Amino acid sequence: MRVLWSWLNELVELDRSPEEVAELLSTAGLEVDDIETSGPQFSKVVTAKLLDKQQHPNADKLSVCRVTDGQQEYSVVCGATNMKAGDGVALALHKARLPGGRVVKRGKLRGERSEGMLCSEAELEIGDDGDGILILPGDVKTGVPLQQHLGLSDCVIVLDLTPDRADCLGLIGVAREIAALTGCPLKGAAALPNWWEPVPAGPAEATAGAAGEQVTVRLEDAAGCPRYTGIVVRGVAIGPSPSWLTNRLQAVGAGVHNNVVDATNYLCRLLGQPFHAFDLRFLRGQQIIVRRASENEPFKALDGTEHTLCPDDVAICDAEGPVALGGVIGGEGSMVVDDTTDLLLEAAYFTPANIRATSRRLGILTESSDRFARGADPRNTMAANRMLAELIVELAGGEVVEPVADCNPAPWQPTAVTLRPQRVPGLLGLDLAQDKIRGLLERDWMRVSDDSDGPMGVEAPPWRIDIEQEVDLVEEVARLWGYDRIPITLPKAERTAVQRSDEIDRELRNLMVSLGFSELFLLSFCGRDELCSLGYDEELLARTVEIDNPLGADSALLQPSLLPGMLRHASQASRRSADLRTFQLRRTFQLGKGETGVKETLSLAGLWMGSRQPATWDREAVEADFFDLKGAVEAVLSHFRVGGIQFVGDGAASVLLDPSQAARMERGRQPAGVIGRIAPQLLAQLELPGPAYVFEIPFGDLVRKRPALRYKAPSEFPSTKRDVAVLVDDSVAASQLLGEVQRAKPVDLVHSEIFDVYEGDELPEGKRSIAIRMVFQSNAGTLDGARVDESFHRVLDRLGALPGVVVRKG
Amino acid sequence: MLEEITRTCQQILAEAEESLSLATNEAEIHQRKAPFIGRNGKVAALFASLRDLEPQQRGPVGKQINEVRVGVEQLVQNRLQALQSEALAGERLDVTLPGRASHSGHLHLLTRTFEEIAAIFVGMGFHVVQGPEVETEFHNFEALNIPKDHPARAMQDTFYLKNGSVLRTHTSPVQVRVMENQAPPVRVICPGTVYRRDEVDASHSPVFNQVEGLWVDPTVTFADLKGVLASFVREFFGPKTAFRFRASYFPFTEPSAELDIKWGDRWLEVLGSGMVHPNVFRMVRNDAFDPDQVQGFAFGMGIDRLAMLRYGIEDLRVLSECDPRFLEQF
Repeated sequence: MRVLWSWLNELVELDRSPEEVAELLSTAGLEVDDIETSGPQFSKVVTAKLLDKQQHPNADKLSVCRVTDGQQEYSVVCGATNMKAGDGVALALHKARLPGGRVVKRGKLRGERSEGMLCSEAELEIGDDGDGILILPGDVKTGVPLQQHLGLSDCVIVLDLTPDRADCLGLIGVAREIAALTGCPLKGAAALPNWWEPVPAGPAEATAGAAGEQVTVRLEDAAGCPRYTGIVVRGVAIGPSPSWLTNRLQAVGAGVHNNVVDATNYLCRLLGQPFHAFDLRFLRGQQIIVRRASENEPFKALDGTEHTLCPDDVAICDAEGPVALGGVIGGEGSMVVDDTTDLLLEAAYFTPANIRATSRRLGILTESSDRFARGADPRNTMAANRMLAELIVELAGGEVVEPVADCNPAPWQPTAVTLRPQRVPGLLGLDLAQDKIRGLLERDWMRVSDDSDGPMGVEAPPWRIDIEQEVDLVEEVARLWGYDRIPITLPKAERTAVQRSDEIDRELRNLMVSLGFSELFLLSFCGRDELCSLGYDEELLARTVEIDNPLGADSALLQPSLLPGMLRHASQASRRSADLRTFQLRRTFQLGKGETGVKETLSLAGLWMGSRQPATWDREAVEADFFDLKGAVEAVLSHFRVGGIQFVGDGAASVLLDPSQAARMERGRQPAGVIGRIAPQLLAQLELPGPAYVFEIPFGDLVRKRPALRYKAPSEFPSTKRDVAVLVDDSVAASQLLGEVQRAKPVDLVHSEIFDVYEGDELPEGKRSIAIRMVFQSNAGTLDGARVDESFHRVLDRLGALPGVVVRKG
Repeated sequence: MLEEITRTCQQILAEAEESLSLATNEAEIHQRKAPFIGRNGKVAALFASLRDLEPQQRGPVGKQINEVRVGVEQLVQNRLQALQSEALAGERLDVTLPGRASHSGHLHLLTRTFEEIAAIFVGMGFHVVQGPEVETEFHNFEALNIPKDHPARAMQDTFYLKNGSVLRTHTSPVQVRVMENQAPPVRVICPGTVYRRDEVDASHSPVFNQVEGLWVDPTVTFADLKGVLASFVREFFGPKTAFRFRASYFPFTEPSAELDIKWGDRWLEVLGSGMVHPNVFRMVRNDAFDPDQVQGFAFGMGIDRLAMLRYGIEDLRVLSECDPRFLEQF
């Protein structure tokens, strides 16, 4: 909403500057986006008075003038001749800036001191007269900036209105708001009507215009259109609007068309009441019927677009069909054209919900639909239409033909909202006496029932359709009192033990950082093509969650995995740095059950590319590999006491991974993540400079609560080690060996690990040697070597019994 | 006799000093000290000569000779130390060479910023709760007093899924879920990712992050809301930050307020807030939230926006592009 300052001043007697008014509106909830200044561009030009004028001693055509701005006297050399002592003049002071950028400076002109300049209209670009200087009345108030004196400065306050303040889509609403906030008196069109006086009910069918050539208006849909008024104006001449009108329309951002259409737009912006003007020639049957559209009824709008209507829409019809889509847009066939002479002017009140539904369904947003969707003033309809008719007659000639039609079968009536005065301090924490509350509401043009204590019945004016319940009144009180005058207190509350649902996430993030990974916060979208290029097949794609109205095809899916995003990031980031160690802890999405139809999983993913240890001045860089990343994953699992995870290297981990260096993770039979090296063809495709390793685990499914921590005293007795090397076929996995060690249940075994793996020339083809260390220890005492050996040999027997395993030494 | 002994003492010390100064290693020092304080050295000989003195002279002279012994020992120690220092000087580290970096990662600035926000509210007794990012229309809109076709829906351009669910446009639906699942009093903040159908530019992103706050009990007031948020502003932006509350409109709060802070010479919007609208309590599928029995306040802020303000980032895309040169700064 653009508020033209000079126009606003016709509606409220303002005693403050645009900046002050803007500040006031902003704090009261009408947010100001900007103040745009307009008008002539000069500065430091003030009103002054010519005291006397002398011939310049050294120049025939110049004179030396003595002028005063009320503060001090100036000597000014001037070439004009049209002034005399006692005249008011426009004095540009030292350093004044004139239109076009010229700057006035103090100096000497042909030997005489000149401390400024007397300006002409042309020099100030406020008129065409360049022959002489601008002469002001002799009794002009001196020292006033010229813009202000001439009323030339203007500005537009741009409001970003919230959806509740429909009233402020009309300038009178803004004026009334300012008056309520400041106490400044209203005037002109904003002057307050006696809105509480009942409006007599009107018929559902009425006629407009003289008998014999009248238009019949029949309101069939009082639910969608509670009030419809029509006025016939005959004999208008369509033509251009006068400049005062076009200037204003342009200043508030409205288009300029012709005098009739401009009049409707002008009053729409003034009153917040949309209008429509029909060319009477095109109303077939000289009728207007307001009814619901029928299913699939066609309608062609005045902008040429064709629409299919439905029974949610209110159709304004003539004898043969829709001529306008009520409250939204006019029809093509009946609009005002250049040779229009007779008009039917429509002003109506449409039910907001219907307009919203129609506007949204058909995707039509107009000045009219915007206002009706939020709610127009249902009481002012006829008065507004009368104003329009008068303005059109003034601009385009012609005359209003009585009677006018006012179909208003169920007139608007104020409804009282009850305000319990104790709710004000109760909700706001602001102690206000009842008479203060009453005063504030009355300042806001409300009517407050009686003077007794206790609940107040409050009626809001018809343009404040946002006042529906008690709390709305409490807000009005708070707004008018001023939010900044409400005390600042701290709530009284018992301290309870704070619980954080994100405590595991925080711990995990910190752990990942300490493991050297940097956190990413990428957008959670990806595209179908992207996933296909990464190797996702139809089966995987079928489970992804698709957005119905995405911004683009490349962001049409919710990420089913964090890895595509992290690879995208790595591809970008690798141009900056060949070493990258990143992680994300974010949601992934796939179709599922539940009320939203989507399963969200808190996933943890990591990527490691480049070095484990960067090169330093004394060492070569060490490249990271699979086991570096696996170590990080194991650190996470072990930190959160996630046990029973199997790494299965059967090549079926993920389409993204190189099957020779990848593992599926499983717990029980449930998938628990993937880890591995990015497939070589993807490396090239993503332009990654070297091998990259990634993992992803459904962290939220694996870890639901923090592990309970409890101290375990370390044994005070010495431990005993036993090592064994086994020669195994390549098909035997290391995890099988360690699993077998566990299954042997050796007494007092506290730790077992693989400490060496050898494959090479000295071993037969397809074999490797794996060395296992077992550590035995007891809390009860020093272990007896014979007992340890007994356990150890049981392990050796079991290992030796595995197919493809030969125990080399014990 | 006595004078001769004194002279001999001085002579021994001088000779020992000269001899030791020529030693170039520890063994040589020990070698060179032997002629002076060894078993058959000059000092031992002097001690032996004590026998030739009068008994009453033996005490003071013996003391004098002993001082010579101590003196030579001291010379030996000094020489040993000098040799050690010389040796170390040869193999001294260049301590100005750079250390070998131990690699530590970085939390994302959004995480860091949220932690700063959370710490303040947790300190005031707020719990932290999370909710789903894909929401039902009911939780995202209707339950928050935004009926279908309400103009307020246009305030937030929404992503829809094929099945009619929405990507939550704010973290406010988490409030609703909290109230569905517990009785008052409620004191929660709800962080999370939210989605709006905005093209990416320097100040917009279709994916960003919010923290929502909700306090519900029988008596909490708008003045309390001001107090809690004023505390937040002072802690987060600094104790001298000027702020103001400005009337505004949100469908789910009434009265509603924007909080602005003075940043340079401009007022900047930092968060929206207000008293929970009674319609929101009415919509909650939990009878414990009867608008005649409870009241509350709610607030919501953009983590991305606060991070940008606080750390001087002018382009929102910096946060989601995650250039390594950005990540390593925090």
